Amino acid sequence: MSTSVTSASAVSVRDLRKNYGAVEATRGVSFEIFPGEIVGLVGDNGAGKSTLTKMIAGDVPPTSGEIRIGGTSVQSSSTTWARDHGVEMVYQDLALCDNLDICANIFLGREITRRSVLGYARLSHDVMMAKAQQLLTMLEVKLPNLREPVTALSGGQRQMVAIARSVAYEPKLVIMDEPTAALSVSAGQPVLELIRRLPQRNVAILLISHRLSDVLTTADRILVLRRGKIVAAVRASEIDEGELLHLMAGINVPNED
Amino acid sequence: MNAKIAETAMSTENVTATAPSRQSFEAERSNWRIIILILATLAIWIGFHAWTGVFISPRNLSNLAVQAAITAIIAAGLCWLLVAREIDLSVGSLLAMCGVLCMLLLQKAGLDAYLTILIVLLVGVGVGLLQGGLRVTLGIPSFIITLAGFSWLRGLAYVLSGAETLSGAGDTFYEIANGEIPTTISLFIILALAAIYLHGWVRVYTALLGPQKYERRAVNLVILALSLCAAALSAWVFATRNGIPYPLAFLALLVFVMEYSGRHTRFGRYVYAIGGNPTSAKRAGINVNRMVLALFGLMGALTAVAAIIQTSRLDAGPPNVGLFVNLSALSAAIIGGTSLFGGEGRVLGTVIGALLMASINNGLSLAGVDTFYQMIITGGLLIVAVSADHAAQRRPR
Ligand SMILES: Nc1ncnc2c1ncn2[C@@H]1O[C@H](COP(=O)(O)OP(=O)(O)O)[C@@H](O)[C@H]1O
Ligand SMILES: [Mg+2]
Repeated sequence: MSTSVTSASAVSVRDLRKNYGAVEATRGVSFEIFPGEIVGLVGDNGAGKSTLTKMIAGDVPPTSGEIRIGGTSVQSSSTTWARDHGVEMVYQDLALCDNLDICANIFLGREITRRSVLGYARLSHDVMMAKAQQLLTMLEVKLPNLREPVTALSGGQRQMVAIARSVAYEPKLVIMDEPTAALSVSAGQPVLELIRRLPQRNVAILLISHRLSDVLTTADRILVLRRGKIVAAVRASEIDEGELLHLMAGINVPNED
Repeated sequence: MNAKIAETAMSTENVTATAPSRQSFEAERSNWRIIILILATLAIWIGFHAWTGVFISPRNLSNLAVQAAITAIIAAGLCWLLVAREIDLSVGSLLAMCGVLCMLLLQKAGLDAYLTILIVLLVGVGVGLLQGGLRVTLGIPSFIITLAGFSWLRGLAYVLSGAETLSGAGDTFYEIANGEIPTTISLFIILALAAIYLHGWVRVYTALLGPQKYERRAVNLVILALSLCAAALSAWVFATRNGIPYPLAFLALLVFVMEYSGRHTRFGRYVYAIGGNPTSAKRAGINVNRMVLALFGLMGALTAVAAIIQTSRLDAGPPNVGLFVNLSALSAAIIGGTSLFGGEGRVLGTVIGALLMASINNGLSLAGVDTFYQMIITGGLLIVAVSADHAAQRRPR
């Protein structure tokens, strides 16, 4: 990858290392993701996937190395900073507040308000409602009444709400850590379809999943992480599940062509 | 940041076309619960009136309102703490400590009523912030922090008072709980509120005539009827004999402010978000610790207010007051539909829960039934209320 395209990348990390005491969770990871691209991240348990995503999301500080978000170098680790600079996370679970309705969940932490006569900020329910509706329409996500608490939704629908929320503010990068792991394969399909539609919104996606078939069908490129190092970066169309497994496990793949 | 979503969303289509309903299903469910509570309270009133013949009179209802207000003010603060998955077991002890402090400041330090009120409020907030601060910095469950408070604050009340009850708070201070807004002004306030409410209702109802479900219209009609009954009843109770007692006026304002901000401000929404799922609230950028701290500060402030009213009402500051306030406030919150596991509960329901319990105690006292029976009945009521709630939740919505 040449340096001339660095400024155009949504996120770039260079030589990122994280040590937990003697454990080297990541050992010099470098990659870039461009807007409109879905990059899969696969690796065995303990390969360092979660550590890598937490560093990008500002959750844990790297031991050394550089993270750039949309060309801006990250100076201090903070989830708030990362979110304000366009990094969103979608988690496997624990993503939504069950007692709040869909609209409130989509705007949680970023409610739209207007100054009222008495000077306090009053929630603009109607504006948020209309915007949530439009967002979901644009994403082609069909949900029942947005005033319904999210408990009424299926697991797949809930994850789609979480994804819709993550792209509501036009982020540069959305990191999805096992977004379908808590769902059955069939319930995961609409979620994956939604993820495939997201690049139209010019957002970069880092998709982590242990379901290799999901990654193969959803991602454009795949990074293989093994013991804290990227051992392969391949186009999803040029690899199959067996080869991926071999790369993850560190077994040399016999050259078949 | 709001500008960004504005670009994407506003540009494409007309925003108002969706005509969203204002109420969530959740709010509607809690409305029904509150309606049932009110009807139950009214039934209790009628029952006691039939029994004693004096229950439904301006004099008794006015007295009942002040009685209920002290518990209700505390229960309102507790409601939000519970919604946010916290608890405060120290309220009864703080109530006593603040009451003792009131009398000390008034009598021993010779301060005037206003300065006393200010200092006691600050002490209440300070104790709340201290407990909340310990909660968030040490990460110890609030159950334990405030269990400690239950003990040390009560001890402090005894130490400060020398285990003696000072009495005679002075005329100004006495007015707080025993004084009333003048009758004509009271009548004006009640009529003005009823008019404002009716006007708002007509506006909302015209909007609701559209594609609304039948049930939602029914809810609104029942709320309208009950509100008008409440206005008529208040006019009778508070404008014929004496005016609105100050404690009740404060409570009404408190309920309004908390209900309103629970629905229409970030702070209120975050209280519920934290209760629904603290992890996701935190991930959404909500400063959970600061919210919890603020809620404990509010709890302390409200307990101090209750202490001021209590002291004024008794015209004394006994250190052993409010031994059961923890439990009655907790009971009020639970009867009012507040979940012990967080995320659910409303101040209005909680306050009506407090009124319902106070009504039973008041009625039994009027009927000459022993206090011990009152306690047994309160216990039974708690179980009935909670099991009715469980049954209602199992019913498909
Ligand atoms: N907070 C931590 N403290 C100590 N070691 C950790 C911590 N988090 C992760 N590790 C270690 O770092 C390595 C990578 O972990 P992780 O990033 O969770 O991998 P993955 O998500 O790919 O399973 C593992 O050896 C793990 O034990
Ligand atoms: Mg992991």
